[in-house]
Amino acid sequence: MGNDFFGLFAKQLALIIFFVWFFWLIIGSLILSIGLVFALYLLWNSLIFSAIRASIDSDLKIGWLGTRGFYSELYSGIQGLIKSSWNYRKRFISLINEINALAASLPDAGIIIDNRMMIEWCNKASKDLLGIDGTNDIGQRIDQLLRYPAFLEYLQNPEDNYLDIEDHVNKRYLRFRIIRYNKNKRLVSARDVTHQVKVNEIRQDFIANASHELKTPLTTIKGYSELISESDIDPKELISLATVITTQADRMNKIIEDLLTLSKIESRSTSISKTEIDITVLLTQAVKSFEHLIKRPDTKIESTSTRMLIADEQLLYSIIENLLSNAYRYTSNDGFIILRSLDYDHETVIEIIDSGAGIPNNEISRITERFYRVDKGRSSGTGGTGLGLAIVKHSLDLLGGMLEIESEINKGSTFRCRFPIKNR
Amino acid sequence: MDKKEFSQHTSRRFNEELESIRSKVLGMGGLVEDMLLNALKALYEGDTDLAERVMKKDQEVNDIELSIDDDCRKILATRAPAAIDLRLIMAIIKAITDIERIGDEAEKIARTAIRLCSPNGQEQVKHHEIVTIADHVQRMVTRSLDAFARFDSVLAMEVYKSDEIVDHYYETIYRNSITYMMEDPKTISRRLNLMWIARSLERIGDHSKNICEYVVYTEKGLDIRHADDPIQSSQVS
Repeated sequence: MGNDFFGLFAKQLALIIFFVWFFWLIIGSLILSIGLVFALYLLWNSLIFSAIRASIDSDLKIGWLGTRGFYSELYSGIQGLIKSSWNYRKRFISLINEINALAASLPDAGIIIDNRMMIEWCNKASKDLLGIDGTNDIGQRIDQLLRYPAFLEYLQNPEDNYLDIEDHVNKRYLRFRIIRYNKNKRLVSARDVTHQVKVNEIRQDFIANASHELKTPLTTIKGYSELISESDIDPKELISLATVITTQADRMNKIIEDLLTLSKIESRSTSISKTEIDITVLLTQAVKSFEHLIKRPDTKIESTSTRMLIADEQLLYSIIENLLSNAYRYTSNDGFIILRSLDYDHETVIEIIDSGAGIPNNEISRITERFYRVDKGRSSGTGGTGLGLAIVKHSLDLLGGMLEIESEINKGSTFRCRFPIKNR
Repeated sequence: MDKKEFSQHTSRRFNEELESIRSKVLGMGGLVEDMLLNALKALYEGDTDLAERVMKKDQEVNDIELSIDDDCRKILATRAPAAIDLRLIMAIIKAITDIERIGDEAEKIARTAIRLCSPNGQEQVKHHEIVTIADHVQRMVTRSLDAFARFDSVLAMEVYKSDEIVDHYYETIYRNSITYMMEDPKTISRRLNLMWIARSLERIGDHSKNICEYVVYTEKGLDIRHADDPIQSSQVS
């Protein structure tokens, strides 16, 4: 009984000791395994970190781990991957920055819209030209911000190459283009074409005015020729009719001559021979050439200039002659004309001052255009070809001078030719 | 307010309906801006053809107004909008009345241009006082519609305040005209025409101001109409 009890106790004790030993064995193994995994993890991390450091600090050379075996190849592979992804990232960022800088520096506005007309992207110029802001207006419909009826129509059917619209608030013209570059995306571009539109207006005005100037004498010639061809015309009248025809033909001839002169001056194909010119003598000669006029207001020369001007004499004479001819045509008999020449430190100035009709302020910038007339109805009958001031302006350009015009309605005008000394 | 608040409904169709109605309102605004520009151009250049084209456009504006009214009615009946959507629909219903009246005033200016170009009238009216007030009013109309497109109550309040300048210009034209008419009765006809044009422009300024009030109402839920100090009221958030 006692032995059985002792034996049972011993067995149970052995069993307990075995279980405790087994338990600690398992726990120990687990701890060891975790420790091993952790150590491997640290080793792995240190490899990666060192590889990244190496890729940043140097040009990625093979590291301290060695150059042979499987691990070396694995390590080199990882290094290669990191290097390429790092370089790709850098290249990608620099490309994006370049594209952004390029888009920001473009003078034209560029807006990308989707199929629902929502703005997806726009550049800096769209803020200046169209008031569309890249920070606040993304996601907004373009037809709500650009409401010009013609633009909305163009947005629906962009069949034409471009559309010109007048921006009345900012007083400028914009040229829109819509380009579909993708199934769902369109680029709306806008350019400031105010200058081109103005140039086009001037060209159209020139054609209309030149036609008018040439047609007027032609109509007279045609009418009088028809009259002469009638059989029952009085021979005494014939001479006066022929005189009118000659006068009008001379007028046409003068217009064409002036046009050719202007064309030569503009293309700078006319030859210039610079000589020393006494301005006072030249002004006196110019005044004398108008002595035959019946209508002749009081004309004075106030020349204080003693300096000899170096210029082409013929061209300078034509400038003064044209300005003086205008002054005589627009000044009444009880008015006055003053020709003045002045020497300054840096320039010589010739002024032709009249007490004539004057030019409205808003017309001054345009009167040097070919055939431009302040009197739109061309009813004043002052004569002239309408090319005089254009010739003056371009001749002065050729001589290195410049024209200044000051005028007041019903008080008179001053035409000032400035010749800087550096051009002597 | 972020404009995208209108695009956050569960129903994509509802989003599209609201966007489409907004586009229609602003398209109508664009048409009216164009009418005003051309009416003034016709007046300055004595172009009767252009003035007649402006007058014909008024019918188009009226048709769009009816169409928008119908769209709003349908949305109210089928979607039962609430909060900001309801304010938006209410603002649209009221704004289109003002936009349509701007069109009517532009038509009046065009009609005056035709009358002035008749054989007994003058050819052009590019009077500096009219040009000054017209430039300001055109800018007001454009900016009030910009504020409506972006729901920008700050811009709306700027435009709202600038109406005082238009009123000031109008009073100056009114006073000057009376002085001229008293001094020389020959100028009465011309000055009366100038006053009619200035009156139309001043009314257009008032309609632009109303549009700005609706922008503040939609964005902030504040009704600044008839308030003692509308600027102070608009700043409550």
